[in-house]
Amino acid sequence: MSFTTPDIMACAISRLLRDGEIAFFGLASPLVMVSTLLAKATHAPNLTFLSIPGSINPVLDRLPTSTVDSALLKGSTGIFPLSEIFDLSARGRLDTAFLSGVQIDGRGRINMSAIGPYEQPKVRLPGGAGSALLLPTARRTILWRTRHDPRTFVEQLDFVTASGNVAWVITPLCLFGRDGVGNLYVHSIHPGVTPEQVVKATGFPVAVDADTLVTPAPTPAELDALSRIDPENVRAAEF
Amino acid sequence: MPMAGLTGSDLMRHFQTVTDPYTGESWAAIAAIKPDWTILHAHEADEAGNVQIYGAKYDDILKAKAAAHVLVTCERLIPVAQTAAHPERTDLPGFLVDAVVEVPKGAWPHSCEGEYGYDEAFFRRYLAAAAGPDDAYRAFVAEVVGQ
Repeated sequence: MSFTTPDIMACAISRLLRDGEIAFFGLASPLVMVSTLLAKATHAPNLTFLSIPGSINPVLDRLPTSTVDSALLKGSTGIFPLSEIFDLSARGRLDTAFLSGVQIDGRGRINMSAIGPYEQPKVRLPGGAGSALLLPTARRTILWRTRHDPRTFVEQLDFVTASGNVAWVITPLCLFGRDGVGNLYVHSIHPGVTPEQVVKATGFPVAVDADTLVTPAPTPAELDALSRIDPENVRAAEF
Repeated sequence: MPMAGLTGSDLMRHFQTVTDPYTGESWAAIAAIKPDWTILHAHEADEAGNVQIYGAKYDDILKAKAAAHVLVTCERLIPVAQTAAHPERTDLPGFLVDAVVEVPKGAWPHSCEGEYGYDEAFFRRYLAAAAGPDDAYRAFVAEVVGQ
């Protein structure tokens, strides 16, 4: 059965979510929004998910591309604004935060601030938007990035915007886990991706070979749920 | 103000820390932002300045409470009696508001929930103009501001 890169990433993200936990995704997160809805429609019906407009488990008949869109409030059972989400995380009750980084290093730290020196940057980036507060306080963070190349996955960040409880990193090529001493390792590579591709695309050293696990392909049930949840392919908007 | 998090971030080059006198824990201390003015758009407000936002409030109320002065634009100006019929719907009390102006479609080109969505065609024009030559961009701004 054929599937796309957004499909395999959505399934890989969805499978990481646990039934009964509380998860939050922020702005510019259509892939994660679809992954979360997929988890809730399959193995995690009791997942609670929060968003920037303050929605709690919305029931969406049409998915917005922007995840700050108040369309996300449709069917929400309450309003839990962003300030409350930060408080929730600060007191250790946010189970999973979804974040990303312009640069990501081999310890799962992220740069959202500047390329080049911070005071005189070559490129001024948008800033961390609270990730420096969430990464250390959320019980775990899942990072995702729709680009996997040596400019993104770097040996050394130009600036450490945030550092903390990153558990997983998902890319179009692979799923990174984090080992006992805090380093990223390749947990699995996606079907059709070669170990050489992952090594070449990653700016820090990674151990990956023919014995590395392969991310299970999307199941027919997952693909069926994806097409039902996201018929307009909003999950591909970030690519 | 003490904040949880920020450990391991280079942003701490710009912030101090404080020690919790009760537990001895160390916290990042972030200076409060005190705007002179907060300007926000609401669905309804009355002549006494009481403000009602329907649906997502984002950080509007926090921003208003942080400011020395607050200016509110609204889709509809309503009588105070209508506010008083449902006081639990008031998001910002009038005594914190300096001025109210009725401006239908005042959030344009952004959205006002339940009233109108964001104007995607306009944002596409803006992006094209912003990426283009300076004089074309200035002409675009003049056209929009002149509307």
